[in-house]
Amino acid sequence: MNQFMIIVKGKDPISVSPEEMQERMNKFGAWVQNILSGRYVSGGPLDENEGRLLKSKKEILTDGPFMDSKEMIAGHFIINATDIDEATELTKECPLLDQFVLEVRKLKKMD
Amino acid sequence: MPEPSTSGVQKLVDHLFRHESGKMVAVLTRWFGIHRLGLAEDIVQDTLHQALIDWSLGNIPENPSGWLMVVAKRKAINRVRREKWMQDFDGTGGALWRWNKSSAYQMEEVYLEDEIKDSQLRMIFTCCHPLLSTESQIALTLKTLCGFSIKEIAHTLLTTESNINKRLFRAKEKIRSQDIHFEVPAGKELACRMDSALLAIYLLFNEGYYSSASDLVIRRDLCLEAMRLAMLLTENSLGNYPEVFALLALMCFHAARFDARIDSKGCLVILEDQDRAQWDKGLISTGLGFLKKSMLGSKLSEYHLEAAIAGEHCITRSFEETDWAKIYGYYCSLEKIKPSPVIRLNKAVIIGKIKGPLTAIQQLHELEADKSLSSYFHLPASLGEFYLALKRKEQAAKYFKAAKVLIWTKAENELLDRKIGLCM
Repeated sequence: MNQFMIIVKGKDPISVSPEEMQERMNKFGAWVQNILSGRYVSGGPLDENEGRLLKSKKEILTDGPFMDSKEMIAGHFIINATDIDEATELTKECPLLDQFVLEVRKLKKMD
Repeated sequence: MPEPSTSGVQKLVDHLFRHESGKMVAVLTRWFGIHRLGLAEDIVQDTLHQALIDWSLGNIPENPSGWLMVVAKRKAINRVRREKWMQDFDGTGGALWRWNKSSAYQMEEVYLEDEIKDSQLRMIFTCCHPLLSTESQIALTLKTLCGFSIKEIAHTLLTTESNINKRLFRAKEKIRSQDIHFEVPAGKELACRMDSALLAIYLLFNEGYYSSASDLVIRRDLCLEAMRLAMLLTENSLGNYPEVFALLALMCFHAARFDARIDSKGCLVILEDQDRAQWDKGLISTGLGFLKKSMLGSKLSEYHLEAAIAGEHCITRSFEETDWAKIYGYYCSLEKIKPSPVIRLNKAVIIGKIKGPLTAIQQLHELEADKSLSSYFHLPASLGEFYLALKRKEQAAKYFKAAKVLIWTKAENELLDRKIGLCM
């Protein structure tokens, strides 16, 4: 079994009604429960207000490219899957895709 | 294995986002002033977006409503700082600066509740301002107070999105050009503005109750929203307005019959055929409570009479036991307050229950000659009904067919088809 990190990026500027927004949240919960069913490992959101971009010891940006909402990482989560194909298939069904770009990355096993 | 908010997601109250969004838009508009309504709406949108990601990937906070309000206020402050237009603040902008970014929201809750209520009241009176057309009032109310999107409003009101956009645009233009203030009116003005707000809420409710939209969920939502808004107007600070309670009673009595008037196939079930066991007894008793409160004033409004009529039906065990004489009396009083051919039609139908079909038919034909109800399907449908009672099936069929031309909804169409079937 491998682990994959799903990076949640960007913001959909298209306006969605509050009711739909809540519906999307319910759908995400249902996806974790029904599609991932036990494969969810961990995850969390990132604070969009506080961040620094360090290019070197001296060059520290407080308002770097990560502040561009299209590029901004909103959060991540880690799932278990046999391989990248399975991880992709699972992620394809993720309702967050309605609003975000999802990047699936394999975590390297260091043994 | 710790899963994210999966189990918590289920705990969110239905329509939480929709209702909170109405509150947040109201509070932020109070800060920014009504001319920046659009900005308030953007910030709320952004806040809900953040809740979606934070609560999905993290946890649902203990107090979701409080969380949303704090985040919305923070976003508002950031936005104002960034755009540096703090100097031209109107509204109660000062509150924004006194609001301490670091203060824990729990400490604020008492204050917060008042702030939210006051802001929502200002929003109701602004959206339902008599200078705005009824159509604009309803669209604006649904958008700002009820958290509906343009698409949802269009769907609900059976019109196009561009139409709704136009209505909202005109409303905002009017607010600007007429310099309508974001405030709760005081003194004499309050009474007149209250009338306007009650009418808008009443129409909103009717939109849900009688609408031809086939989507029952949406129609029920509209009715609930109307009741929710009316509840806001019971706020003590506004003083005593018994007609608010009368309107609430009326809505409760109608809502109690919501399920019973539509069968499993989506067909309309007329009062006579409704299964009264299906009526919501909780809502009826709530309605009776409101009706009692509405008696405390000296004013007898149309809502009082309509509530009395609906209430009378609700407390009667069977259609046969209906006290038609009493209901006829209410209609006569109602006609004095707002004379209309629709009330005359209702009176004619009730006369039919008391004195028999021939009297009703005679009065209905008088109304028919009057022509003011020529596009109202209830007139030919009622004529058909009374002719059918007299077994004059040919005439009955003729009127049911005439009614069919005038109806909009599938449910009504099916009802009339059944009636025509009975005339064969």
